[in-house]
Order: sequence, then C-alpha cells, then structure tokens
Amino acid sequence: MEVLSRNLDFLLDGLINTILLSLSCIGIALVVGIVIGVLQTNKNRLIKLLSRGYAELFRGLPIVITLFLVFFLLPEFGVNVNSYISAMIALSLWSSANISVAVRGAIQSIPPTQMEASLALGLSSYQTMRYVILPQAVRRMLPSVIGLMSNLVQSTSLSVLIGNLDFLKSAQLIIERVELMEGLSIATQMYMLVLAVYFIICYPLSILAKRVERIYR
Amino acid sequence: MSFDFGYIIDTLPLLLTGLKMTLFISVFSILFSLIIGMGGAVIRTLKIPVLSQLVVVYVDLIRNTPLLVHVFFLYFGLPAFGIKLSAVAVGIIALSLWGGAFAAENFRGGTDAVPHALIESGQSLGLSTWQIVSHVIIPLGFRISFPAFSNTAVSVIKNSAYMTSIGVAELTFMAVDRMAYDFKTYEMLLTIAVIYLILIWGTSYLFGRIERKLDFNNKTKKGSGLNGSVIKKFGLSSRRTD
Repeated sequence: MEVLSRNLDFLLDGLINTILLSLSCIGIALVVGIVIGVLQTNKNRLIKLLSRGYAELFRGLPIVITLFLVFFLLPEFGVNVNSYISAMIALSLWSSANISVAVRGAIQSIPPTQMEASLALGLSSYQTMRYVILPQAVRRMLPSVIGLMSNLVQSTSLSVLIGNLDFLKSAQLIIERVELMEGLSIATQMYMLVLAVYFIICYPLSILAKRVERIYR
Repeated sequence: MSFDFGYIIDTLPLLLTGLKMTLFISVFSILFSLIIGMGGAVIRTLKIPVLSQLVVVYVDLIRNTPLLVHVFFLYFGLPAFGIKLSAVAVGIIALSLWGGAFAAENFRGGTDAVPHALIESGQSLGLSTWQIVSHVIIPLGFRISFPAFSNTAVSVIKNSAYMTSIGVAELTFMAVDRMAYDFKTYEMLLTIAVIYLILIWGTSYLFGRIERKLDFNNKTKKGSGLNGSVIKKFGLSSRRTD
C-alpha cells in the first residue's frame, strides 16, 4: 500500500498513456473503418477486392505481428516511429479492419429499396450513402463498435511488447524497481490491481454494448 | 535493404519448430475452451444456483481484462502462492481460460436456443437430467452455436502469439529471437506474417466447411442430420448467437 502511494503518479501517467492510445485509435479506426466499409459495398470489383483484402489481412494477422511489422519495418522505409506511434498505427489498422466489417454488415442489412428510392429521387450515390444509408447503418453497427472499444482498450496492453510506457508497463517497472531496491516481490498484488483497473474501464463498455444491442434490435 | 530469400530457406526449419509449438498450444487450448465453454453454457442454461452465478463472474472477469495481464499474472504472480508453472503450461492455461470464457458466451446462445419443449419431452420420456444434457442440450446447442465458437477458436490461435512475452518458443518468439542475432527483421517478420495468414485463413476456411455441414437451415442439404426437421418445426434459426 505504501509502495502504491509512492508510485501513484507514475502509474497514473501509464494509465493516461493507455487511455490516450485507446482514444486516438478509436478515432482513427472509426474514420478509416467507415470509409473502407463503404468501399467494400462498392460495385467496382477492384475497389471491392482491395478493401475486403485490407479487412481480411488485418483481421487475420495476430495483433502482435501487426505491431511488430509496423514497429520494425517502418524504420526500414525511412519512417521513424516511436513505440507509441507504432502501437497507434498497428491498433488502428486492426480495429479499422474490424469496424469496416461491421459497417459493411450494417449497410447490407439496410433494405435495397432504400437505396433505389433515394437514387430515383435524384440523389447522387455519395448523397445516398451520406444521408440515407449511413445514418440508418450507424444504429446497427453501434453495439459491435462499442464492443470493439472494450477490446481495443485491452489490446493496447500489447504495446508493452514494443516498449510503450502504458499502464501495464508502468506497473511492471514498479514491480521491478521494488524488487531491486527492497527485495520485495509485489508482482501478485500489482497484477491484481492492473486487472482491476482494466476491468473498471472495460466492464461498463461491455454492459453498454449489450444495452445498445437490446435497444436497437 | 534487399530481400534475402536464402536466409528464409535456411531458417525455415527453425520457424517450423516454432509453428509446431504454436499448434500444440492452440490445439490443447481450443480443446479445453470447448470443454469449459460447454460446461459453463449448460450450467447457465439450467440455471443451477451458485454455480451459474460463478460462471457469470468468471466470464465477465476474463472478457473484460487483457489476456496479456492474465499471462503475466499466472507467470509472475502465482509463484507468490507457491505455484510455479512452466511457460508452456501458463500459455495453455491462460488461453484455455480466455477461450473458455468466450466459448461459454458463444455456446449459451446455442444452449438457450434449444426449445424448451424438447427438454420437457425428454423429461416426460423419463430421461435423467444428465441424459437430457448429454443427449439433447449439448448436441443441439453445439450445432447451433458452432459458427460463433469457430471465431473464438481462430482467435485462440491468433492469441497464442501473446506467449512470446513469457518466452514460450512458439512461432513469433522464434522469429523475434532470430532477429536479435541476424538483424534480418524484414525477412523474418514477413515470413511469419505469411505463415500466420495461411494458418488463420486455412483454419477459418476449415471451420466454414464444418459450419455448412452442421447448419440446420442449409438449403443445399435439406433436413440435414436427424434433427433437421425437429429444429425446423420449432422455428429455430442456426444463426442465433450472442
């Protein structure tokens, strides 16, 4: 307990890093995911192939591998990224792929008559998508997007593997420091605390996802 | 930066031993998550007091905390209680508990969808609770919720890469280990990425085939299986999952 109060600032910094990482990823992933999801319903076969390939690729790769690919390979192309930015890119790739699939599913669940009616009224296909289809699709994809957010917060913990100083990493550093300086092992208590904090963040999200699903069904 | 194909061929046997470990961990974890998930789902469907609340707590706890922290807790936290597990054991336990929690949710969609009339008719035929579970709820529930479970199973394979963090000699670990010696990051990472994609896509395809075989509402195979007509009569959809 005493160790905890001494290191509270350090832990909080880690927690803020985790939350910022999650928020920036969900922001990027929503934009990219919706665009790619819409492209997946495009009539052009090449566009369809590419956008579906993107989703299949980043959903198929384990997140750890995407993370390593971004972290180790971007510098080889002359793009210098630190571990935070790498984690942000990799997790955005993964979550946007997942969101795009949810978007595609939602769009395809809208009756085609909606599309036909709006086109018949003289709206362009962009306007149809923007004002008719997407607003309806958003409600249907909301549960899976909220569920994904909980998933994303959990997945940010993977960024410790490339050395990002997130919540889990700061907890680990405290464990190591206490062990070195005082010869005490606080691993058990510390990891329980970490589990509890993640649970406090993610549990409300999963409850919300279930609620929203019940409302919109 | 040039791509060294010879190097890949040289290290391929090493990577394949890593792949073997990945498969070993995945197969056992999927098997255990199937058992845990089915048990949890049956307990919740039958609403057994205390036990079903415990299952809810277990599922919520696991689903809302990161797998990586479970792994670290089991590997670094448990020795304080005098339990020292090998890295591979931790890998299998962590993945099974994780997969089991998700599978319990998957299967509950199926076991809950088994029509009550079928359970009642089992009772009126004089079947014991255990017989109803093993002959009615599990076979029907499994078929209904298999599509959802197959997603979980594929995720278990993908998440076996987490075990790199505690030094299990699986595919990712082998590649990262080589990278530290030979600095052929480019070759190693792309190679394991391709291996993972083949593995994951292949497994998904395989599960998809099984799904079609098990699907009650399959148009191409009318009244598939013994129970097809029964299920149709009760208006059951095979796609009802959580």
